[in-house]
Amino acid sequence: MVNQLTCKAILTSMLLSLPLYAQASKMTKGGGEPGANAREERSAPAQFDLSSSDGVDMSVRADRKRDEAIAKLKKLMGTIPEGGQKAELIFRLAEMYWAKSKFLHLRGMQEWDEALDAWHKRGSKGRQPKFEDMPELKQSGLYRREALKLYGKILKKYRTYPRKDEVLYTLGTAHYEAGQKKKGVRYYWKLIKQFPRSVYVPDAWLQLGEHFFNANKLSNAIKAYKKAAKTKKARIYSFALYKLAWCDYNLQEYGKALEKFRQVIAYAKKQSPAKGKSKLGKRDRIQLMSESLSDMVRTYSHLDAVEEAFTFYEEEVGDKRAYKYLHRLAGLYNREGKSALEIQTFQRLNNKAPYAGEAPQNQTSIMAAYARLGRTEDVRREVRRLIDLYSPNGIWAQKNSGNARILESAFEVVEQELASLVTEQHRDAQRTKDVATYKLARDIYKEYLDKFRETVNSYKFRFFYSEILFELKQFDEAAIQYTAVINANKKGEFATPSAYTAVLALEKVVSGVKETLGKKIRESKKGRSKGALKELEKLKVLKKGESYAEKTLDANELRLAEAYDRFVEVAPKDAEVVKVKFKSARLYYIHNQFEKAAERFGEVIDRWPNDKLARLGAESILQSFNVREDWSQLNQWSRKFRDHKILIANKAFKKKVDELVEGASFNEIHFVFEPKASPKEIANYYNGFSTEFPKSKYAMVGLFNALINYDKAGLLQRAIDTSEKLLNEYSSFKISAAEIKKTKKEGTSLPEPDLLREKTLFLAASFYERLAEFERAAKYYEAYAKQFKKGPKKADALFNAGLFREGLGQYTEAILDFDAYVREFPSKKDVLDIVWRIGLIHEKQKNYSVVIKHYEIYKAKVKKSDPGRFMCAEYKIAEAKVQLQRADSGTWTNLVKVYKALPDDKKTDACALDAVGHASFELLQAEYETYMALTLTGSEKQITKNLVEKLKKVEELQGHYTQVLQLGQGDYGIASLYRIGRVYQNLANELFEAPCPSRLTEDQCIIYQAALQEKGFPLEEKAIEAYDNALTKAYDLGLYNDWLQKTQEALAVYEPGRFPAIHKYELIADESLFASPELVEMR
Amino acid sequence: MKKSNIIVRQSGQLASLFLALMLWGCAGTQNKFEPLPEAKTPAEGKFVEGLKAGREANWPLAAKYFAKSYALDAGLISAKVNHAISLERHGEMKEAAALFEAAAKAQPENIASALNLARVYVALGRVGDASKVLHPVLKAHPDDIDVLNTYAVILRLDKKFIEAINTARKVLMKDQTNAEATKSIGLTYADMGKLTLAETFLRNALKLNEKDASIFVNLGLMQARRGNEQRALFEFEQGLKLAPDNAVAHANIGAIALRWRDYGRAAASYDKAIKSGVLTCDTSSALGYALEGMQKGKDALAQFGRAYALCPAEKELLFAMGNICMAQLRDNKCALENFEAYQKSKQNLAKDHHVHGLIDAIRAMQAEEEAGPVELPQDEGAPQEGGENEGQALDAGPSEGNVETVKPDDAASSILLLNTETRWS
Repeated sequence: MVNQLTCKAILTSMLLSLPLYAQASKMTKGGGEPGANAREERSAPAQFDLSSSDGVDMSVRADRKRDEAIAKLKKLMGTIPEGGQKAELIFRLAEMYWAKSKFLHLRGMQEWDEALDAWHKRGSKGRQPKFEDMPELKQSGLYRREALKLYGKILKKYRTYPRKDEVLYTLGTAHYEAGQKKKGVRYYWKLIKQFPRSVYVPDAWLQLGEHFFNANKLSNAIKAYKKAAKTKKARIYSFALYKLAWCDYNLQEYGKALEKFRQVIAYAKKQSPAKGKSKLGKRDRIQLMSESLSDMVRTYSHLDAVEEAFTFYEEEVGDKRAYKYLHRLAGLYNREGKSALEIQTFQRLNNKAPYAGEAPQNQTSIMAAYARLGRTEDVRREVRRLIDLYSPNGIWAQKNSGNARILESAFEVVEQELASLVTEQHRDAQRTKDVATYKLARDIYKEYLDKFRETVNSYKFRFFYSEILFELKQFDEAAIQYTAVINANKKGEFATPSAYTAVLALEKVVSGVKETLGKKIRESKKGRSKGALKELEKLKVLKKGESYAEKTLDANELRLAEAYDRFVEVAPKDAEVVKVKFKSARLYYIHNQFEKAAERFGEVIDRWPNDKLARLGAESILQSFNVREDWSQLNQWSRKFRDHKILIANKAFKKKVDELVEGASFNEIHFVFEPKASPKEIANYYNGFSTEFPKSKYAMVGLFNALINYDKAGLLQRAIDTSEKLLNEYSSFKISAAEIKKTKKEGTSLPEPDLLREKTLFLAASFYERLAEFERAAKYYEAYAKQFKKGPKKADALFNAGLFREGLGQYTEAILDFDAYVREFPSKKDVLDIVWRIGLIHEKQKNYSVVIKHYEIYKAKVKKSDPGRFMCAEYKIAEAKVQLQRADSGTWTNLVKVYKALPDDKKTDACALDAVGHASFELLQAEYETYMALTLTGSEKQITKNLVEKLKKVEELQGHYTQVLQLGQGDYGIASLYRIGRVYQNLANELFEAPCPSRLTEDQCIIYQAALQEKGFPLEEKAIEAYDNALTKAYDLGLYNDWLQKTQEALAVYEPGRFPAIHKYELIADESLFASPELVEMR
Repeated sequence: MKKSNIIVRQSGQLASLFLALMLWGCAGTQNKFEPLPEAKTPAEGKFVEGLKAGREANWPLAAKYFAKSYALDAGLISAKVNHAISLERHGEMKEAAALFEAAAKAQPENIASALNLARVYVALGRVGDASKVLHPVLKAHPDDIDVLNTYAVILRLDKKFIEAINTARKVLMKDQTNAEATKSIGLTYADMGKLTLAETFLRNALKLNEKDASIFVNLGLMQARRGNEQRALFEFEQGLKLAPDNAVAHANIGAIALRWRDYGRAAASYDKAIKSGVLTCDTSSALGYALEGMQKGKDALAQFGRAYALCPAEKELLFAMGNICMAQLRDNKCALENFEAYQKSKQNLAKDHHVHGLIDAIRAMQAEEEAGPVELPQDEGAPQEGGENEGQALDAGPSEGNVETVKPDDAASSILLLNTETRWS
């Protein structure tokens, strides 16, 4: 069995919650917060859910149970006979149906919600789902109708049913909710009439009260509410009281209404569980209090009772919550046009909570209220207050720094107000033309801009501010502000006029002229109407040799320059833009900041090439760098202009530029690069120059410098190539004397082309020489000698050529070269050496007859001047005669004679010693041969004679050879010693080998031979001694020659062990290329 | 007429290069005063031992250590390189070549590998191979100065003189002060017989670097080639003034002095050459001959022994030692040992080679000694037995057909003859 209380509770809640249920559903589907909207828009009492909170279970599970119960009841009803029990069953079934209807209604609501969400998610495409379409709604209706039917049946059929009052109440509520109000009211009356003591009567009265209230039948409503209020049911009572307060409100009995609201609040408070009473549920209690407090605000709004309201709320809910109610009260005052009260309320609120988030808006409301009251001064004051208190960086802002939204909102308000204020002030000033007013407007603009830099108004306000400053003759500050306007938006509406006026202002500042302010200001329009820019002044003419030290622009000039540039940037199409840019350039120019001036002149040229100022700028640039000999800059700029088709259309300018390009290029290499670049780089620069300007007067010297530097850099091949190029391509290159003179004046001093050719030819020869290309080197040296007959290096050229020709085996050419040398440079110190050399060449050619003739001539040359050379020449002649087999004793005697005639200091010359040594030795040859030819053979008489002769000659020869030795010539000294040894050896051998005279017997012969040997041994000793001496001398002097070898061979006969086989080891070259490397490190 | 008793070293130019090769190599490791590295592994330990041996110029030992080091750690490439270098220093060119070949094969365009191999090929007389090795390197690095210079020298050795000069010229075009290229051109002209040009060029090079002793040495070489040995000596002495330790100059002076039997000077010069760090077959053997000429038998023998230890392939040294033992030290046993070793070492020795006779003569003498003294008829002037005369004629030294050979049958009569004629100083 279903619990009766539960059923009742369900029913009650259904009945009473339906309106709320319905209303809530409407509100929900209408969008927005129910509570909020209801709060703002409500001019009617709040709706309460007076149902029990131990309510109906609207879950699916409960519904299933319900269905089971309905099924059971239906089944049971078929079996139960008519009577009270059946009535009860029917009642219960009706309750089930009613609950089911409610459930389905709610389900339908939910499904509608979901369908709507899905529809929204699909982009609201297709048909919007409607609540009416929900199947549950129809079903809900069915169940409701069934329920009503059953209730009706009970009333009709079961008149004695004990719960008829409940049925009546339910029917009344059901019909009323279904829109059948009359029927509903009727049922309520029936209940009240038929069952006056029913527990439902207060509810009925309450519903009747609602009906009349809603129908605006207040007296009836009051009666009904009063009836309802008599109940002890807390909820009914409190609600009835609440509604009675509203009745009073509607009857404009605001005081009574307030009182009743207070009673409701007091009653609700009493029902607090803390006080031990809880007839009223928590939710109801809070809602009642809350609604009452809210409704009291509305009520207060009809009364001039600000103080009372403040007192009440502060006492009732505390300061913090009271603020919200009182804030609403102020809002209501505003809506009702009660400005004074509004002001009072807001002011009180702001005083109470000066840092509240709403404070600025409150202040705005105060301002607006005063405005509505027409109290301008008050408005101003309040505006001031607003600005002062609620600007960014103020204390209020700091206190609310954590709430960006509030701050933003507040600043927005403040900004708007300030904007309005300043605009108004400016208009006033324009209207009155009053200086003071302008100043005030200026100050407010300043204030605005200090506080609000980046608002929608900032841009134009700054401009207006700038304009006012300009009108007030505050040009310096005006320029600053105009610049700020430009910087804020270079393409903005005010950019161009700002740029122009900034220039105008700064020109005034720089000029230093003070302008006085009149009493009135006639504000001119923006831009040119403010005045014309200064005329363009002429540029000074620069002179070479003068000093043009850079001068610093002072701060204002710098600003002016920047302003010029900015104007050009911002207003590129302005008619005066070229002039302005030029002025910018000029400003730097007159301060000798030529690079910066050049940049700007350059821009004039690039952007407005057809303007006459463009060429003026170009010429200024060139002049500035040329005069100061800034070759790099001059080169760079002149090249740029050279490539500028429009500029060089002017022929005179073109010619000038071409000259400057050439000259600057060369000078840049010479003066700028050369001091610091490497030889290779310098060479490349010069080479590049000559390639670029092959016909330039500097071309040849450029090539020459290039080859010199290639040489320095060790790049021989390039040096050769460059020299070849110079010699071949500039073989007839000329520069006029006038041109050379001019360059001297200019400081570059070009050399004569011939001089360069001459040097180059010699250098080219030396390059080839260094590469061991001797043939070519000789050719070039000879070419030099031929081309430059008076060349300073002709002698060297001829000598080198001769040397290489000789080395190459080209003796004829070598002799020609040497001959030329001798012929053309007779006073050279080495001429005689050269002549000698020629003789040696003839010797190499084995032209001994020529050799003799040559040295005869040589002799003639040196006879008186150089006896030493004379001696040597004689010796050469003698040697040549030997080769021609024409040498005789006379030849050698002559040599000795010549030697003897030499001064003492010449006698020790190597050549002289060689000659006299050789000659002396040769002169002994005949004597030696004669001696050697003497043998100890033949008759005894002959033997004796020869022996005596030999013995005599031995002594003589030894003496003679000793004399040769004493001459001090190494080779022939050794040779002499060898001969001495030979002489003795020969004699010893002759003695040893002498045959016995035939007259001697064998024994006598033995004795004879023994005696001879005895004589012979000492002679052998002498021979050995002589040989030893020869050996020693040779080794001491380090003289290794054929005589040494002969000596060794001779000694080997006596001491073979002393002269083992000669071991010849090859001499080796000193080359490190094939050295084994060192051991490498471990890692 | 006596045949010339001049013995010419047949190794010729290559020997000269070989000498050049060794001259600088034997100076030891690059910086022998630097502390040795710390060994952290066994392989590194062997490596350090190798370095130590290298500092002492003990190349066989150094080679062993480096080989072991590499065997222990194949990642230690420097050990492999040093193994090859040590073999090269020790004159084991073939072995060194094998190692360098492997490296060059792996990286035919690697400059260092190619130069190493080329150098060793030159030392082995394989000039053509040396040239081929450089071809890919030249293609890859046509402007590398070291490669060009090396190639120029190889071309010169290969008698491609014009190419050699042109190659060296390429270097001078890039760097006209390059000493190697300058010398190369000068020497090439000298080889071409254009000694005047060679000399002129070298003298010009001297202007670029007047302190380059090698230029003087090469000028001396020019003079020597002209037959002007006197002038050659002068130039060598000029070089020594600038660089007293110039081993080439000392060696060349020694060679000239030895030719002229100025043994004292030869010995002094070769001694300096060796002390300058050059211990080669040539210098060692030459010093031995110089000492022999100075009649310092003991010293000569020791020197020959060192030379033979260094160059065991030089079997002629055995003969020389035999000669010393016999002629100067009167040690027949020593002489016999050496002669027999020499005989054994020469597989294709001519039947009439005088070593056979010498061996027989010594054996005969030994046999006689064992048999006891022989009574000879007393003749005036007859020499005493066991005198110092024996073997005098044998001091002519060995030579391939250049020296009179002493046949065994003639030995006794020769001795008698010498006894009558020979004088002892």
